[in-house]
Amino acid sequence: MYFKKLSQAIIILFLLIFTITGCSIPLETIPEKAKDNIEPVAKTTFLMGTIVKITIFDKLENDAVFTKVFDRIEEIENKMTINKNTDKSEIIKLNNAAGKDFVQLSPETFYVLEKGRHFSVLSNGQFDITIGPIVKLWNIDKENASVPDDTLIKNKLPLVNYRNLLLNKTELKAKLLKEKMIVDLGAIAKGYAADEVAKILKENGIKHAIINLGGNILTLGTKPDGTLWRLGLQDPYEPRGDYMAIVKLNNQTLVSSGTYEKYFEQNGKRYHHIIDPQTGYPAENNLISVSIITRKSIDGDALSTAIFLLGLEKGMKLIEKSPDTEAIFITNDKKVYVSSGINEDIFKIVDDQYKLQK
Amino acid sequence: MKFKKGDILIFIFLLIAVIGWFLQDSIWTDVDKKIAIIEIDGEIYNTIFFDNLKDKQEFTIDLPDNNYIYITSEKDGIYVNDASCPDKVCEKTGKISKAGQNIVCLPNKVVIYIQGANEKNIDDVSY
Repeated sequence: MYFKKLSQAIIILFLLIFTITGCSIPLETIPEKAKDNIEPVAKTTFLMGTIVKITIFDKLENDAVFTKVFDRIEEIENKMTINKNTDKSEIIKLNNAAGKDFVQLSPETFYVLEKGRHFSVLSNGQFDITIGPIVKLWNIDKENASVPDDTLIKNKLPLVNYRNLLLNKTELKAKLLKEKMIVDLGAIAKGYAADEVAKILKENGIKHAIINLGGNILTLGTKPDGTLWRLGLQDPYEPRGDYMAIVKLNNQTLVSSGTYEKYFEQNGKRYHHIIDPQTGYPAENNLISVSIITRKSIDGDALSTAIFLLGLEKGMKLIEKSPDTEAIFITNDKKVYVSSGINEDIFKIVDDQYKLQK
Repeated sequence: MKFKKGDILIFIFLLIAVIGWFLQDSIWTDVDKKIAIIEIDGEIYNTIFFDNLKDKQEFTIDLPDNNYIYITSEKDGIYVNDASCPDKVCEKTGKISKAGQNIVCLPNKVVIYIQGANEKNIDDVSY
């Protein structure tokens, strides 16, 4: 008798499990296919030294908008690069005139420089827009990259100081005070480009899209069915594309900075691309990645580097003071820290090796 | 106290069903066939169906300006052996095998990625 009751109880439990989970799972997957008949259109190209992917979820008559967007990114790249051999780059002109003259800038280059200085001030120099001389020394993209001579680094460090970048807003002019100073917009220009892409897409009537500039994500609106975008967050220890968490976004940007993106190894030690302007060496603060969620991608881009360099404690304090801005920190030992505005509705770890810290 | 035959049968059946329910993700991941796609400068260059591979397949793609990329595809994944790029990020990535994973060679504008049913869970990845 006792066991008869037990099996009845199990059957009821079993039915309960299936009615609850069995209902909820199909509901989540069906709308994707059934509801929105429009297949997203994605185009990929290589610009700004990275891979650019634009995915549009609205009905498109033709591909013209992609051409517009890619041309615009190329225009921004040419104006702001220090890595390409082009006479169009206003930043190369500014760097070449270091210690000598003021240089006339376009409004948009001025805007990006001003943003760069803003985040340099905000992070008290932990992020520095004039890091160029040190970045050039490390040459992390190049073949046989190796650790630069320590005296070379020490000699170049005094050139890194955003306070020696003068900005004249009324005349849109800028000047670097010391000779051989180098402005590097590498940690901010992609974010600006993403914002500009969003602008062009909106002007062309597009309401739902994902802009992906080398892993920096900017979403336009929501998904066509009104639900939030679901973005994977890169697992720092796995090949690109493997995610350890899901972040939900609505008209927001998600930008990550991590030691896994670019690096080389020498004598068994890993040297990554996020250089600490105070020491001239890659930052070592037990963080492996920082991701920022905010409105403008230019802010997300600069903040992901700035907050990484500030480290967990100071970085978290700055995030908590910034409106509409959240951050996800991952440490080398797979601990995850999130700012106060992030809850389980918008952030879910899907790999249980990673532990959310309270 | 004794189990009745029916009790045991029901119990075993339920046990299998429940275990199966929780293991379904790992059992059925390969139901939808996985393919590797190689793209050069945004255009699809080649598609590899892992199920059709008999043996290891090795090939070199010649790229503009005397550049090249040397790729090996095995039944359980694909990787870059060598490429004419300065940073060697593509080689360091190692073998990829799961849907959504990708290898990027920026200097040569080559992307290799695995497509399958699993990645549909998300819209894109931030890295």
